[in-house]
Amino acid sequence: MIIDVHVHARGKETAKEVIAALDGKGVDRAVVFAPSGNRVGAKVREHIDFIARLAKEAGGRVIPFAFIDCSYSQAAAEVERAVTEKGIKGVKIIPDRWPAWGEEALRVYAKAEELGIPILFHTGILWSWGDTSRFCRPCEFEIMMEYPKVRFAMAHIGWPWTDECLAVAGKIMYMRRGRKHDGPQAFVDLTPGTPPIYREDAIHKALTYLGDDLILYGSDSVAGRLNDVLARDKELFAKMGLPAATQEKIFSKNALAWLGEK
Amino acid sequence: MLLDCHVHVLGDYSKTAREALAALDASGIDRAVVMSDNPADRPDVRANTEYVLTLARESGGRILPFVWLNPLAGDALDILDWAKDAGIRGVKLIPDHWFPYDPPVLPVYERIQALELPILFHSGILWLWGDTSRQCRPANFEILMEFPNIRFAFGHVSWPWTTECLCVINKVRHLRRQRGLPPQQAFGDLTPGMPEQERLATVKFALDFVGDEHLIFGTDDVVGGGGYAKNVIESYGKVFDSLNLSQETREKVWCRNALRWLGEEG
Repeated sequence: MIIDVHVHARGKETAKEVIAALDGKGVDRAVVFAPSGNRVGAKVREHIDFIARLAKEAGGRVIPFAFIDCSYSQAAAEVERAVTEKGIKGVKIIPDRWPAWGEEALRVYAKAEELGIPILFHTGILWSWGDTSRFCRPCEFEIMMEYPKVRFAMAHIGWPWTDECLAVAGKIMYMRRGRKHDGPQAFVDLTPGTPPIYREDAIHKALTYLGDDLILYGSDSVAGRLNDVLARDKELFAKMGLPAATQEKIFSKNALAWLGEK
Repeated sequence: MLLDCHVHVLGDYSKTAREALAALDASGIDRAVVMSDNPADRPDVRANTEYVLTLARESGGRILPFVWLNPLAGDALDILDWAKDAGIRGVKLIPDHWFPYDPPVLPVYERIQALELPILFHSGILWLWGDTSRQCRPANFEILMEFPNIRFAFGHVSWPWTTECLCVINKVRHLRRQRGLPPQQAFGDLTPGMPEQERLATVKFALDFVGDEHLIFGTDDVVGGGGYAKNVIESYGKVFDSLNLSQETREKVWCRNALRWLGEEG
C-alpha cells in the first residue's frame, strides 16, 4: 500500500479526478490538505468544508486535513468544528511569520491534543515572499514535547536543515523513551524540498540515525495531478538497497501510525 | 597525553578520587575536566562544586574541576568568586531557556573574564525536555567576542550545527588575528552528540577549514565511568587513522589545544 502524506488541494477538484490521479500513479490513499489557511480566516470554513466533502466522495482514499494559520484568532475553534462536525483527520500548519512556540500556536496544539489528531508542519525553507523561513527551522518545533499526545511530522526533512530535523526527531524519540510515552511523536516527511543532490544523503542519514519507524512518504503533489516523486523515490530506494520491510514502513505503515490508524 | 574535556557527575557522589582515577587509567585518559552537577537538577551549586573540588584535590592534578552555573541565579557572581578561590579551573554553562547574548548574562561573562576562567558551553541539540535547543545554536555565542580574554569551547561541536560552529570559530579566529590578538579564543569540543557516522567528515572539514589548533577532545562520560570513554577514544582514533593525521595534529587534538583553552599553555 502507498500513502502519500503531502498533497495539496486547490478547491476545485472532483473526487473522480482525484481518484483517477491516485490510480494513475499507483497511490492508494493520500493526505490532502484543504486550500491554504490565512491569518484573517477568509474562506477557512469554506475550504474545510470542501476537503471534507471531497474525502467523503472519495470513499476513504482521501484523508482530509484542514489547513490552519495559527495566527487566525478563531483557529482552535475552527479545528474543533472541522474534526467534530466535518470528519477532518488532521491539520496542516505553516508557521508563516509567527513562531511555532508562540501563544497563538499553543492554543491550536492544545486543541489537537484534546481531539487526538496529528499535525503536519511545514519545516525548512519557505517559499513565501520575504522573511518567512526562519520560523520554520526544525528546532522551533521542540515545543511539541509539551503536547506529548500530538503526533506531528516535519515536512521536507526540514531542508536545508535536514541534520537539524533529524536531531530534533532523535531528541524527542530518545527522551520519550525515558518518560515511557506510548509510541513515536515526531515523524519526518520525506516530501521534496530536498534537491536530488541532497536527497539520497538525507534519506541515508535519516534511516541511519532514526531507524525506519519515523519516516513518511510524501510528494507535494496537487490532488488532481500527482507528480512523479513516487516513481523517483522507488528508484532511489532500490538503488540504496532499502529492504522491502523498510520501504513498506516508509510508504504506508509509518503513516498509519502517525494518523492514529494503527 | 590525552585530556578529556567533558566529564559529568550526574548525581553519583559515591565515587572516590581513587575510583575516578582508576576509570581514567582504564580508558587511557591522563587528565579530565569534571563538571559539577547541573544546578537545574541540584540547586546547591556550592555543595555540587565541593565534590568536584575534593576529587580534584585528591587526584594529583589529573582532575580539573569546573563549576556548572546558572548565570541567571542571583548569587552567580558570588559563586564564581568563591569557586575561583576554592580552586575551580573553569565554568560550564548550558543556555537552558536563556540566550547566550541576553543582557542579564553579560555581567557573568565579565566576571568570568576578570577571574581568567575558560568556559565550556553546551551547544547543539539539547536533550532537556521541550523547547530548549534553539538557544544553543553556535551563532548565538558570537557575543563572546566582546569578552576577548575568555577562551570558550563549543560542546559537541554543536551538532547538528557543526558547519555553523566551525564558521563561528573561523570568524573569531580571523577577526582576532586582524586585531593582533591570539587567534585561539573559540574551540570545538568533539564530544559526542554527533553521531558516529558524521565524525570523519566533520573532523576532516574542521581541520581543512580552521586548522588543527581549535579542536579539543571530550567524551561526555560520567566520573568513574565504565568504558564509554574508551569507546569514544577508539571511535576518534579510527577517524584520525582514516584521515592519516600527523602525530603533531593528534597531540593537539587529544591534549595540547585543551591545555591552551585551560590556560596551562600559551
